[in-house]
Amino acid sequence: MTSTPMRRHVIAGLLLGGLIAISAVVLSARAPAQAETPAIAGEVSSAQEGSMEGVLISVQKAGTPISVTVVSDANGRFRVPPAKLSPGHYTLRIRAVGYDLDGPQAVTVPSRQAESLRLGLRKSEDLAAQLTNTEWLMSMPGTAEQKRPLIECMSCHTLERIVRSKFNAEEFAPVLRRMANYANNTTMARVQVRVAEREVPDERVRKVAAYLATVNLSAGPIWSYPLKTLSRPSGRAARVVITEYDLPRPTIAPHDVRTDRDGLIWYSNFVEPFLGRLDPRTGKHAEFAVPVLKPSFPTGALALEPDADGNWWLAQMFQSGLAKFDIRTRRFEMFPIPPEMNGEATQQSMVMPGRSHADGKVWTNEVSKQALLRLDLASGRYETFEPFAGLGAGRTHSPYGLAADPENNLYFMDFGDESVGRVDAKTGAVTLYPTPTPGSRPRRTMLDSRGRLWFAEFAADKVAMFDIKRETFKEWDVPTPHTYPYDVFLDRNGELWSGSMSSDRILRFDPETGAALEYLLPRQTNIRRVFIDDTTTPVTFWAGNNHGAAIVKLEPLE
Amino acid sequence: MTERSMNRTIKAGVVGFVALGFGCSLAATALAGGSTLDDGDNHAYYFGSVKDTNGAAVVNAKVKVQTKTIALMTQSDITGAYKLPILATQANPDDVTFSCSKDGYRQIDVLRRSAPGGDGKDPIEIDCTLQHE
Repeated sequence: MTSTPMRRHVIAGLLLGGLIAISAVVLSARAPAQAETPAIAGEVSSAQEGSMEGVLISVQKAGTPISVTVVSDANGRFRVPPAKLSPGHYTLRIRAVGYDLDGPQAVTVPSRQAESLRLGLRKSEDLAAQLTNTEWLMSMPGTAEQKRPLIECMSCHTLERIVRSKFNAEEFAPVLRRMANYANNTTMARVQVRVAEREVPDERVRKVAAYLATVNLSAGPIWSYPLKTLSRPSGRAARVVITEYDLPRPTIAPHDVRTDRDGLIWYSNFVEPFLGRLDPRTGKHAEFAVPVLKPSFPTGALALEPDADGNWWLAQMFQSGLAKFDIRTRRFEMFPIPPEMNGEATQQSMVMPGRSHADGKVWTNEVSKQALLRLDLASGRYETFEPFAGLGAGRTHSPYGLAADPENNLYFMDFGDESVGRVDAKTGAVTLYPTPTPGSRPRRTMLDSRGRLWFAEFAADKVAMFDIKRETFKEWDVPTPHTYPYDVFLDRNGELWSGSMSSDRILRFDPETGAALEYLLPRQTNIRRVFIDDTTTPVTFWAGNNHGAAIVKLEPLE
Repeated sequence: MTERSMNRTIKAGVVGFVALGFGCSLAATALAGGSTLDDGDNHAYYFGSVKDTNGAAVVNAKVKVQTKTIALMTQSDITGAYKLPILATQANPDDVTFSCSKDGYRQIDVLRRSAPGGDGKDPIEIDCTLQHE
């Protein structure tokens, strides 16, 4: 009888010891794993809303140019994928219009704190500093006609700059005249002046100046109208990881961004004479100097397009002509516009070398003459095509986005007006197809393998498709008014992607079902060309932040 | 100054701009005047309808206005109507050919209802008749 309780003690003691031993094994197994896979995760909330969905949380490791952004889910939870992190100190940023991050804005990885962050947001004291260009255009009173000129301003700066100004109408007039003489490849970090002066009709200046003075701070310290905001992302639009690669100088203005066969990123620099390259795996950045042929003229290139051999072609803007970067020799071959065609306003914004194997020709445009040019590679000569010469006067035309079919017949967007055009490679015959929406100002384009031309209708807030065999159009409204889409890209799944200079949002759109979602970007992002890397699953979206000196990668999680 | 000559002045002034590539500032739209983004009513255009021999609208017929150097092409809408920008050579009807087509149909008649000539500001109505094959 006495032995029984004793035995029980012994058994209990053995059991306890066993549990401790097992726990110790579990703990020792966890500890090193923790150090190898650092985590940043947690919840985000505010006094006003409780748990918050659609808040962008960005983390950037100290001393690196790479930021990673995730979006909180319906329960306010977020998690940065461990593969995107390594041990070190990280700064934290958030984006949720109307809110600022309250509390610590840095975290060490790995740490217990970083694994379960509780981010509290407080109401922002300066909502105006958080508005996108789209939100300003939504907020401003005025007619569509009055607001329309502002979409040009976004090429160089945000609308916040205009609405915070204090100029009255009279003071605005000389500002507007000055702006008209800046090159379109101007940013706040690098202003470039046109060599050929542009005259601005008085009546136009007066009208625009009068309107701008009603939406800025000329009448008092606050705006006379309420500031409207777009809703935060939710659902699928929150299932994304965004990586931003800051470039080493604020003056770098990435315009067209593309990947090559090795997964390296190449971009055109809109204001400086360099072709840029980024290795997204290491963050390593390189630049290749483009020869400057017109030293007193604005520098920088717009379109970046590969030929069939993978060499890069740049449209040289006010430097005029085309530059070819040989991918093997790493040398530039220059194709200047000959002197008799090369004036003070000469400007090549576009290039299409993709089908040059068909006939030895590369297409480009001559912006100052509303014309198209075709370079003969064998002779270096350019021929001029004037696609609008047969049209009645009184309308403005500008050949812009270019695409070529396998025979090197050209398709072009009339960005000044409302047509898709075609130039027959053999006969030079021009056909214009007005878009169903008048005044659409089609901008950049791509031709898919099924003979469908996809393009952005900048002034119509639409994306569109032109079937080159059937000669028929389809158009779709973008979900957010005042987006002003610049470009589109059709991915391998048949989904269409688009970006703009105004909304800081990336559109993903299924033309079959009409389903659309918009991913919000972490910072003000002036987007031009958009590009999809179809070699990943899901696909990967790439673009440049033209005013923000950064390359943006967007990886949808589904 | 008439509205028309005003437009010409503006156009001459903005040739560089429209240009743009990107129009910084007010360039393209603001200053291109009524040229680009107005409702189109300030300028002449071709308009009309495509019908079958029973007078019923033919939807999605291709409509083409063509000179030796340029062609304009569009499609008829759900009411059989179409609209196209004008060609500079419109004053000389011999230089312009007009046609309509659709699979399963053949063109049997093109009727220009507006008088040729004029000052180039008036819309020109051209109707087309297709017959089932």
